[in-house]
This record gives sequence, structure tokens and C-alpha cells, in this order.
Amino acid sequence: MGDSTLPAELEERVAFYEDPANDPGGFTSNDWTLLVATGVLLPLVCLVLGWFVGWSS
Amino acid sequence: MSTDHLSPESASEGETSWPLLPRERLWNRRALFIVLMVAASATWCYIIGEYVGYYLPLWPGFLAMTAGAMIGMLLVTLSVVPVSTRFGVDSIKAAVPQFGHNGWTITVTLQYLSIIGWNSLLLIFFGKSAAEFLNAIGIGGDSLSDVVVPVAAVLALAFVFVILMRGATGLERVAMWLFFFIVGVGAWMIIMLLVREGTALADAVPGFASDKQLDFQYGIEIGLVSLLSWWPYIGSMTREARSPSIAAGPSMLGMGLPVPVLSFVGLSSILVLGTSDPASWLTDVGGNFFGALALLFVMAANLGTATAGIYASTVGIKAVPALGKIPWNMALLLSVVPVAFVGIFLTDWFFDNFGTFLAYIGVFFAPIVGIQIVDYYLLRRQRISVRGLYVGGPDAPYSYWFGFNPAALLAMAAGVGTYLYLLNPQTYAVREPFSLLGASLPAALVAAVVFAVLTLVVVKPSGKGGYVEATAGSSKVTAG
Repeated sequence: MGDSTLPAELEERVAFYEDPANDPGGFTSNDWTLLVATGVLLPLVCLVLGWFVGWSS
Repeated sequence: MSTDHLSPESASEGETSWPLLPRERLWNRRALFIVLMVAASATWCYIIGEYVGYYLPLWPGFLAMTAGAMIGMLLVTLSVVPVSTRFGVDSIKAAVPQFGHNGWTITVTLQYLSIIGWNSLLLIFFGKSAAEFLNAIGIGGDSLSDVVVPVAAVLALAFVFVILMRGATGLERVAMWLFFFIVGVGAWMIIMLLVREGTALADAVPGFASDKQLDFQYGIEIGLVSLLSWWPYIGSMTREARSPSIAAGPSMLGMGLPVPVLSFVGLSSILVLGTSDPASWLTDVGGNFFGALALLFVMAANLGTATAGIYASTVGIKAVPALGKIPWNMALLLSVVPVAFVGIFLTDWFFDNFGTFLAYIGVFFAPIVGIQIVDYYLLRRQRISVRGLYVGGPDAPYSYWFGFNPAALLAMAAGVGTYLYLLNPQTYAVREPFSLLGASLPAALVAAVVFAVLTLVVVKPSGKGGYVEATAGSSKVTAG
């Protein structure tokens, strides 16, 4: 790290990923659906249930 | 581009911070799910549940904790997983675009301290469980626990060391073995508590309950900060998967959800039994045979998590320039020794101050995820220069000024200040609007806004940070 010249093997690994064909890209729309469902909707449901339903005292 | 000619030693080099190639990244969704779940499922869940149980009854506590945990997991997933899976790098490398080439001084330090803390806790629990297990099968007694706890901790660390001499392969194999153990006995503990203590649980009143909204927010916050602490862990494991799509589900459901589910055990037991440590109640509630069996689970689960933690920490250490070329086993030793020291010599001190440790996790990791998310998705539009992660020099995209990005440093300071204003990590005293927003989310948001403003006003106009290249879609930048 910090050098402008990379070791040969690291150079090849970096060059491999610089080829756009080897970049798998970001999250797909299905991934985003899963992320929103589990990271946004599920917490919202838990919060509503916890606040309005779960309290017995 | 073919990489077939690269040396057979690539697998060992893969343990460094260099990008892993697709042929070295063999974990599918199932394998990653199991490894992440085993990494997340450990005795710390019980103490997380215990802290929630100080403020909330069973179901509100469980639901608030689950909500916070899944929000925290979403933030960690969004900040680390895309870069780590696209290029086969760990959490430390994934943060280089935001923090700069010398930013590792911040991220590796936080990773190191965080993992030492969590694994010390696991070792303490492991030792206690081992002592109680020996009691349950009629060997030893209370007088021996002072000896058994440190000896068990040392043996556990030696086991982890041997496993990880094989690198990620060792981690995957031990995870496969532990998976069914963890799921089975974890479910048994939850059912046993509900069946045998159901009535008492329904009537249990938390020890520190005060204001409903404030207590509810404590539950959310504890769940959230607990999952933010996966930031240093997750990249070293998701880099073994070939794309973000493979890692998204395992991350949220394998690493996120098991924490609140297992924390249910700690939450229940603190409410009705007065302690969250399964080692001290499993034999009383489950009898000697089942209690001893469950204690074996506790020990096994801790071993799995400690293995993942030490592995992540070792990969992080290899990202430090001065340590990048030391042998893997030496780096492994650097990860293990501090954990052994805290776990053996500072046992009671660390155990008694766990809540403070937990809050400090949020202090630092909340701003980091805020900065990474706003930078990766909004400012860079998911474009990262993989070469920029490794090359230095004044013209390198992530060199910034002297290797540090002042926007990230000031944003970190603003986020940390926001958190400390809202929640005192030592006393848990709060200032408003904590009861409405908590502390981690505002800290992440403030850090993100400060970072974005400074980047747009100062960094980008100065031609630093590779933002011009990213916007122009240079050939040296890959698009997500």
C-alpha cells in the first residue's frame, strides 16, 4: 500500500477486476427487495407490534 | 482476462488484503449463510438480551431488539458487502475510498479493539461454561473454577489458532460442523424457557424500567449497536462470495436475524432467573444431563464465533503496510495474544463494563457506515477504482492529503460528537431527541451529511478522491 508500482501478482489481480466484464456489479432488484423487506419493513412491523401489541404492563 | 497462470500459492496470498480471484471465492449462498450464522451466534447474544431485559419486558424487548438489529444489519450490509463481494476484499480495504490510503490507522484500530473486546467476552463465557460443564458431570467444583476458566480460555485460543492456520478453509469447515449444534440447542433453550417459565415471563418486570418510550428506544439502540459491530467481521467473510447477490440474503438473515433470536434466551433468563449467563442456570433449569449438553453448545458456539473473529482481525492486520508481509501464522498470533490477555487477566473488569464497550461500538461504527453509504451510493454512484485501493503516490485517487481524507475525519468527529451528545456510553444517560431517534442513526446521518458537504465543497473541486474519474467513467473505474 502506498506504492505506485504494484507487485506482479497484485497487478494481475487488480487488472482482472479493472475489466468491466469481471465486475459482478451491485445489488440486483431482487436483492434490494430482500434488503428493504428485512432491513426496513421487518423492523417497522416489529416496532409497531412491540409498541402497540407486545406491552402487557 | 485469464488468471490461470497465477501461482498455486494464490490461496495463501488470498489470506492477505489482496483481491481474491473468482476461482478462490468458492462460498455459495448456503456456505456463506452457515459461516455468517455461526459467526453471529454466540454467548454475546445472551448478554445483549440481558441489557435489553434491564429496560423492557419480554415481547416489547424482543421486538425492539429485533427492529434495531435488522436496521443495524442493513447499514452494515449496505456499507461493506458490495465492495467486498465485487472485488474480493475485506472491510478495511472496502473503506479505503472514503478514508484514504492511510485511513487504515482508524479502521484497523477500531477493528482490532472491537474484535479483541468481543472475543474476550466469548472466552470468558467459554471458560465459565467449561467450569460449569465439569461441575455438571461431577468433576471439579466451585473451588476449581478459578483455574478452569483461564485454562479453558487458553485451550480455546489454541484450538482457534490451529483451525485458522488453514485460513478461510478452516473457518468454513468448523462452521459446517457447528451449524446444527447451534440451531438445535439454541431452539431447545428458547422452548425450554418458554415452557417452564412462561407464566413468570409474562409477569416479569424489568429492573430499570422507567419511561415507556425511553425504554423502548434503549431496546432498539442496543439491538442496533450490537449489529453495527459486525462491520469489522463481515467483509473478511463476504469476500469469499463472488457477487453482492450471493451475500445479500446470508448477510441479513444469516448474520442479522440470529442475534435477536438467540438474545431472546438472555432476555428471558435475566427477567425470570436474574442472570443471562446460561452457564449459571442451564443445569438448574434443564437438569444435569440436558444442562451439560447445552453447555457444550455454548462452548461450541463460542468457538465458532471466536474463530470467525480472529480470522477477520488477522486479515485486517495484514492490511497494515508494516505487517503485510509477515507470515500468516505470525499475524494470527498478533490477533490471539491480546484476546488471551484480556480474557485471562482482566476477566471481571471487562465483564462488568460490557455495556460501556457496547455503547462505544455505536460511537465509532455508526459514523463509519453513514460515511460509506453516502459516498458509495450517492457521491460515487457505486463506481470504485480497484487499482486505487492499492496504489499510492500523490496522483493516486485515494491518496487525498497525506493519505487521509479530511472529509472523513471531520465527518467521523461530527458523528462521534453527535452520539456522545445523545447517549453517554458509561452512564447510559441520554439527551433528547434520544428517546425518539436513538443515538446511532443520528450519528450515522450527521456523519453522512458532513461527509457529503465537505466532499462536494472541498474534496471534489480539489481533484482528490477519484470523484472526477468516477463521474467520467474512466476505464480504470468499474461500474456496479
